[in-house]
Amino acid sequence: MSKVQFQLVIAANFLLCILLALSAPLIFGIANLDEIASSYVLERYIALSGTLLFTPLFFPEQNPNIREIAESKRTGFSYALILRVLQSILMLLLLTSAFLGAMAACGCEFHPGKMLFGTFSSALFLGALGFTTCAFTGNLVAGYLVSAGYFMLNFFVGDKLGKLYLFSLSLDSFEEKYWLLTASTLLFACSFGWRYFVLKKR
Amino acid sequence: MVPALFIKECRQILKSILYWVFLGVILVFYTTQLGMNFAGDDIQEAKQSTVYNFSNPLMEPPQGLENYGTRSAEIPEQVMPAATYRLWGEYSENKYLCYPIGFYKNVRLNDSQQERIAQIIEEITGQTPEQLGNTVQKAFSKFDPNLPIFENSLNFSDFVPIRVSYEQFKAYMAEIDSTLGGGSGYALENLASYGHVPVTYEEKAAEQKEIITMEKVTRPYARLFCDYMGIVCALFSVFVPVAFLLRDRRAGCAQLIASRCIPSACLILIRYLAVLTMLTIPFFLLSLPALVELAVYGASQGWSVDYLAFVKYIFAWLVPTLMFCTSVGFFFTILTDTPIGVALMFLYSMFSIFTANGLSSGQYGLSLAIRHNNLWHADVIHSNFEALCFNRLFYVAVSLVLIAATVILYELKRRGKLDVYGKLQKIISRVKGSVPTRHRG
Amino acid sequence: MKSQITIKNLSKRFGQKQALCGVNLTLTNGMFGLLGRNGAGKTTLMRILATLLNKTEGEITVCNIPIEQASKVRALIGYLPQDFTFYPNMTVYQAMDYLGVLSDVPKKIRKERIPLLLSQVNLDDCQNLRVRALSGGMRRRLGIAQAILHDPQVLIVDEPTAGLDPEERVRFRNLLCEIAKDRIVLLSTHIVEDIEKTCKNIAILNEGRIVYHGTLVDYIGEEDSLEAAYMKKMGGLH
Repeated sequence: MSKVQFQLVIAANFLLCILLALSAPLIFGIANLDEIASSYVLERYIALSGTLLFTPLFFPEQNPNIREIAESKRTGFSYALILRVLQSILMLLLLTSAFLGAMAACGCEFHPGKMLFGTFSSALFLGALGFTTCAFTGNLVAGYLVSAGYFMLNFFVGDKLGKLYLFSLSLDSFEEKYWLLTASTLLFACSFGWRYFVLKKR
Repeated sequence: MVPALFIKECRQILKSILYWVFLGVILVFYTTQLGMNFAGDDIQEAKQSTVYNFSNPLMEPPQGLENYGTRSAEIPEQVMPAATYRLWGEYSENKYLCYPIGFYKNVRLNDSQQERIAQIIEEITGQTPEQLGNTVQKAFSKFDPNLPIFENSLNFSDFVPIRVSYEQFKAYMAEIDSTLGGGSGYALENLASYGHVPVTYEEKAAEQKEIITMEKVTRPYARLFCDYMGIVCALFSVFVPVAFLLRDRRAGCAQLIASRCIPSACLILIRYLAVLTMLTIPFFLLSLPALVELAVYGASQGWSVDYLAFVKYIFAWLVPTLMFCTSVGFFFTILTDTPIGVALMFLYSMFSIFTANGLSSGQYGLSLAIRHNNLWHADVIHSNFEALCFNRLFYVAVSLVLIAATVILYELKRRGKLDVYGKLQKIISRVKGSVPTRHRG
Repeated sequence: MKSQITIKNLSKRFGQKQALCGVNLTLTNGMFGLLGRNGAGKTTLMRILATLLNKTEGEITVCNIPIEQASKVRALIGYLPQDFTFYPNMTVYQAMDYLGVLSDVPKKIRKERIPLLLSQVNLDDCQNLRVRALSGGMRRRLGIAQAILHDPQVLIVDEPTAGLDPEERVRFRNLLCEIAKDRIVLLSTHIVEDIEKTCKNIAILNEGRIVYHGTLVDYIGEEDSLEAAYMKKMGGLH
């Protein structure tokens, strides 16, 4: 089941994330950065992987016929969705760890746990925004728009976004990451809750 | 057929969830960047405040103030010490902050490059970096950290000695910028940022008068509006056409529509115009509050107001951006039947915005979003008007070419001669097929 | 006006696969049945006639207009694809109106014809119902209505009764017969009964080739039914 879900939804998006990560050294340069400079690259670029991985998790079932078939099976569709989310989380952690490893190998200096958790939280929040929008609207492009919109808002509004500011590591602040993680969990819970509510009403 | 189809397509766009999400995004950016009352705040301040705000163009500057603001100026006596001080600081840590393509990049130099930097510092100042460090330390020992920097009256020229001509200095700066890969604080186009001159009363009064008489009150606000909204147009407008076109495939009626007798050019162009219209309307509507407030205030002051300023600027400034984003969305969606146009346009816009040369430098190049991030300096627009026109016309021209190509693509698809989506599916399924899955027996 | 579709030596290749080979057909007014197994090439032929696919070889004229003049041909044909569906949020009336605009039907005529056609297909009570709320049979009837909205000379219907209940199927067949009185209706199906009840002339496709082209009566010959004749003759081909 996991292999099928991975092939069906996640593999292609993970490939896009790998391309994103490979392009980072060309744009930013990842050699000999200190912690603040490293967080700049991670939060402002690598975190986009969240949008790419989580937003399209509903995509195969956008066609109502396919969705009905998936929902009519003994193994509930929600189970498949949860599996996809977990696999995407794993892929995100893998990608971020690998990128951090590459940065460390290029002489960057940072606290690995802090960077991993920080980047992961920002990416997960972006992904959760896209995922939730998709769940509520049934529109994949709307999911990308909301996620990308929030990402860009962080550039222009900055730390006025308070606890949900994505780029807090570059201001040497970590508290926001806990908020982002909590908000992501709530968003995923809302999405699954909404699906349960809609199914029940049907 | 044309008006009927145009109206139907506009209605379809208006009913789509994505369009309303897009409107929400515009509103969020408008509120956070401009504020709901961006012209009204200036008007209120001009009416009621007794304290002069030199950044408010509606306030007539009173005579005899100490501060009318400052402006950047490439004054060698200021630029050379300030830039050299920065160079010394970055040399000491071997961390040079650059923005080669608009994004922060921390450059570290090798030993021979650092040696050359040290040489340059010595040639400029007559002191080695270490000696200069001692000089700096002595100067900063007089620095009171409790006071703001400008109240410390610490001028770089007081403690950073300069022994070269400005021409020679610029040559050194160009060399350093090249070594760093470009985008550094030593690039020749960035040197003016180290120098500041205070604006005099006469200059301020003249500029304010120009805004009221020549700029007719509303034009600076229209420019600022378009500056911020241009970013929204560049980044997010592509989502609407992509979602709009993908609904045919999603609804499974692409073939049904293709079998109709409407010519491909007609269908694509009407849809393009419908999307463009629906994307432009929100900006017109958003500009109305500011226009009305400025018009009423201007009339009350007996000023001549340009009522069409926002319309003109939206057409000339924002519409080319919208045209380009829409045409890119159309082209790639018709070509591939996937939302790849969103990713391509978003990335292009992001890089275009972050690599823009300054926020009101007049160096428009081929920037997708034109920047002029203040209410002043209309002279920058006027003196770079040709470049501005070239920029906008370039994007209009490229849009038209892309739409023409889209018409051709659609006609080929309609006749079954083009199926990129099918080919992509084959490639993906071949890749998936190469990953073995276990079949239960 | 007597309409005619002439197909001479039509071939269609998809890469290595020969979907149609040397197809020769002449279709005139009335119901024409196209029968064949799944994968015989029926849908390919339909789509070529609907100008949605390009032929590899051969000549086709629709009412004396070469198929290459796609926009002229499209004005003459109405197409009901196998999986007819439309924008789910549109109402039945809105869907008809939109497709009418795409077929260049003037507003006045649309206003007159749409209610008439919806009545003819028994959807007059459903004008304000959204497409997604329609049953399978209702959707097919909407499909027929939109296909003849612009009064085409030729109607191409691809597997129109697949998945319909027996009552709906009978209703559909009757509707098609009524429509076929003064136009060509090309009915493609693998449901033998549909052809038997409605078509005088038929063609049978097998692996891209026409294996029979003539009257239904001649094909049935001595057998009891079309199905029996079909099973006997097609069985002999394998």
